[in-house]
Amino acid sequence: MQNAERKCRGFVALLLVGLLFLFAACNGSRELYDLGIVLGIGLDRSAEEGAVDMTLQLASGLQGEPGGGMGGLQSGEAFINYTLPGDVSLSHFRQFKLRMQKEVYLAHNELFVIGEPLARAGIGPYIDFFLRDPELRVSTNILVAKGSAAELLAAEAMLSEYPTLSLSQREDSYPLSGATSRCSLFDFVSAMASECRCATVPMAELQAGADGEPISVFNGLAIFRGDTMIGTLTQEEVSGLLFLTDAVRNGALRFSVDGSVVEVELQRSKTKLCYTVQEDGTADILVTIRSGGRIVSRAGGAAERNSIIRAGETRMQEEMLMTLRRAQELHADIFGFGDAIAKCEPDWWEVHGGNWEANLPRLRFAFDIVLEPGEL
Amino acid sequence: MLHDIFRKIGYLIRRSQQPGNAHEEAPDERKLFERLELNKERIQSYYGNDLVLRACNVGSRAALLCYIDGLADEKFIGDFVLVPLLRPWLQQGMRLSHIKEHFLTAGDVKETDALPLLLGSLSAGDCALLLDGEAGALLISSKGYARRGVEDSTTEMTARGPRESFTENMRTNTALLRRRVKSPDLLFDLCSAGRYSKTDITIAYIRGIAQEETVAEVKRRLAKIDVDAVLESGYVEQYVEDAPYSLFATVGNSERPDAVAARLLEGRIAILVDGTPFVLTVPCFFMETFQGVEDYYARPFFATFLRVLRFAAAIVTVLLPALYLSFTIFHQEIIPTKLLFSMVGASANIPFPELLEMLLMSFTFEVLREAGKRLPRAVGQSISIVGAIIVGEAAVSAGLVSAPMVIVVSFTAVCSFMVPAHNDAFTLLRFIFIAAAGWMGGVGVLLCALCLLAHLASLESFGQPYMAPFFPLRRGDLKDSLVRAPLHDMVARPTGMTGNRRRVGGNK
Repeated sequence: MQNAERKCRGFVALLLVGLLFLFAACNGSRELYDLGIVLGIGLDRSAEEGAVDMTLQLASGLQGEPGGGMGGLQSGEAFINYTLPGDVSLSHFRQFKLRMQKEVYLAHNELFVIGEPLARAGIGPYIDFFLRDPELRVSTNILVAKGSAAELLAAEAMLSEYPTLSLSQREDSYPLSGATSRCSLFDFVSAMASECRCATVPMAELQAGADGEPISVFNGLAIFRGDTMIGTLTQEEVSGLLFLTDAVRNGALRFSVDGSVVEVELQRSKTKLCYTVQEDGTADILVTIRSGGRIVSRAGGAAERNSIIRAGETRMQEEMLMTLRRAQELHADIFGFGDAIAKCEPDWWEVHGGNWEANLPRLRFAFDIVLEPGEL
Repeated sequence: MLHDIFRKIGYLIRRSQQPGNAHEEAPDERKLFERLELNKERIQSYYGNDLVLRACNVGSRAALLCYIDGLADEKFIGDFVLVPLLRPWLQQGMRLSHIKEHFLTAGDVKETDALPLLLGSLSAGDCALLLDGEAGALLISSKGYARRGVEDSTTEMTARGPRESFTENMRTNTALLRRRVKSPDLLFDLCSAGRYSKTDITIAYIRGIAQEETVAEVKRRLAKIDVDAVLESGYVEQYVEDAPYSLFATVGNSERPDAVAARLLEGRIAILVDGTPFVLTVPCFFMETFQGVEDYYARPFFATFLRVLRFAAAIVTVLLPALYLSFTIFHQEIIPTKLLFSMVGASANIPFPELLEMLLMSFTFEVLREAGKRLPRAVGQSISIVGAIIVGEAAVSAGLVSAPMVIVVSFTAVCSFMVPAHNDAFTLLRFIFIAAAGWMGGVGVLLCALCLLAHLASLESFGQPYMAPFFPLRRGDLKDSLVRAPLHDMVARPTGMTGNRRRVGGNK
């Protein structure tokens, strides 16, 4: 009996050891120095029909010397940009691998930059490849370059050696200060899959720096319906979007009171939206904002505190109305109103949701804004 | 020479155990003869020139006092054996029993007529007195060989607490225990093991606390030891342990009397082996090795912190190199981007694959550690410093290994010293985990960890689960596990060790 048990145990042990060999997929080790670690990917319209110029940014100090004859090679001190035309496919990446003599490693990619012309033409076919790639993180940020993505990736970075890291970090941190919105690959694809929602992607452009060198600056947002860019929001309109989507935590609000410029630093801003649907297919939306803050600048004049607060609240409302008007003009629900109503009023949405884009200009808004600056 | 003596003693013992070996006609060679000359020749045939034979007259009878030079205390023999024997008023025809009862002032005196016993006592440092015309001898305990005094513990040093440690002398060790547990319930049962070494082994336990079944089991296992010699407690450990093929020792050991006394008071049983300062204790738990004796002398919060630190260090010791390897060659996506830059930059010009580099570094460290341990202390320290600083620095400068690899292996090495009891097991496990990580990455590490946990959970030590109080969960015992509760809260002895669990109160 004991012998049989012992044999049985031995058999199980052998079976388990044998099963270990089935982990063949795990036997894919890669040495660090074999990896071409991609930090950023840029996509631009190519001169060739049906192709895009893909730019990969790699940290140059880690990758060794680039090979000769590299087409479109741009290098700084800390990074190298490789640009090759293609159709964003495996063979396209294989071309990169052959040129770099490194394995293209996308797991640490921080940023997608899409050139505006390509964005207006539609990026769906190219994004699809990255969505299917198991290495790439869906938390990667997306950015639209006003002009060429390759040029933006080659521009001097601020506060970082790597342009992609600089841009990505700014995209992560700016919403907190009310400067711009953030859009990840996941957000973008979610908006693409939504029946009514449009994605907003930050836009960046090159401007001349103090020393004449071009530097990248965030300016406005691109609005996408599906995979195609349909319009933009100005920097002022961005602020209204952030208020309406409860994305502002801290930020500066600048306005005039009796001819004097006043700035209020917002703190702990909180937005709530309350939806009331109507039988005629319209909806009333009450926007409630409670925000703390402090008045940091009163250039001239001695306006009363209450006047400053009222002016601040009015300014916040104006910014939101500006954004709403722009969105209604484009028939683009960039705020997620449709998704929210579909969730809280499913029966109503069943009837009226099908024509949401047409109904968007008929939405009515009311505002309840309370600004409570801490000091005068 | 000693080998010949042991061989002959063994031969005599074996002959005595064989049935039908007695020759009725021939005199029994195991017994002493009446003629002193014959006995003298037989004793001389076993020993060389270290045998001291002192012929004298006791009363009017010829007598022979014999002992081994260097093993027996000559001053003791002179004061307590020879002086009483050579009194002029000793009567004629005096027998050994009379001498033992009325004249010898030595404490431990036995009478025998067996030659093997006499030879064994001589080898142990006793002296033997033989009288002409009497087939017997007095064995007088006169052990006086050179022995080390009670010194500081070198393997379990503490900042607070007693300094003294066990010695190679078993009697000294039992006295050290008796000094701490003065109760008459502390019992010492003597036995011996080793066909040739005849090593004395003492089983120590506290009656009323230790379980009788466990004591009986210890005795049964000790009685089963059938080996030429027991030269250290490690021999006994390997013969009595539950899982001889496991990497983990299921028998605890300590060279500190206070630690062993504390374990006895928890219901454990100590095994003291003559000739070694390391005392074994059973049953042994895995968690026991993370409990330093100083934990109980320090404040409970800091003691708990130290235990958590030791536990974390043990995990680092086993897993850190393997995890580093699996992250660098399989799961680079887990490494933060900027850290990855540093690591890639550091390993850019290293000629070896990461796995080989890790094995080389770990192997080099083990070589340095072993060399440092074997060499004289001063040289050993130099070797460690040279190895750690110069060789490591030079290897990085020469581009043979990367700096992160040196950091990982060095930190692992430092952590490995925090749990010295499992150092051997953890060292081997580290290499197993490295191999698994090199083969299958995180999946390999996970599989190995599961196997290790399953193995640990399956181990037992003298009927007690090795992983208690975690597997099986014994809530009451958790107070003295990873956490060290205040002493007044630890009212019960560990579960399963004793039927008398309450150790606080009730005894006033």
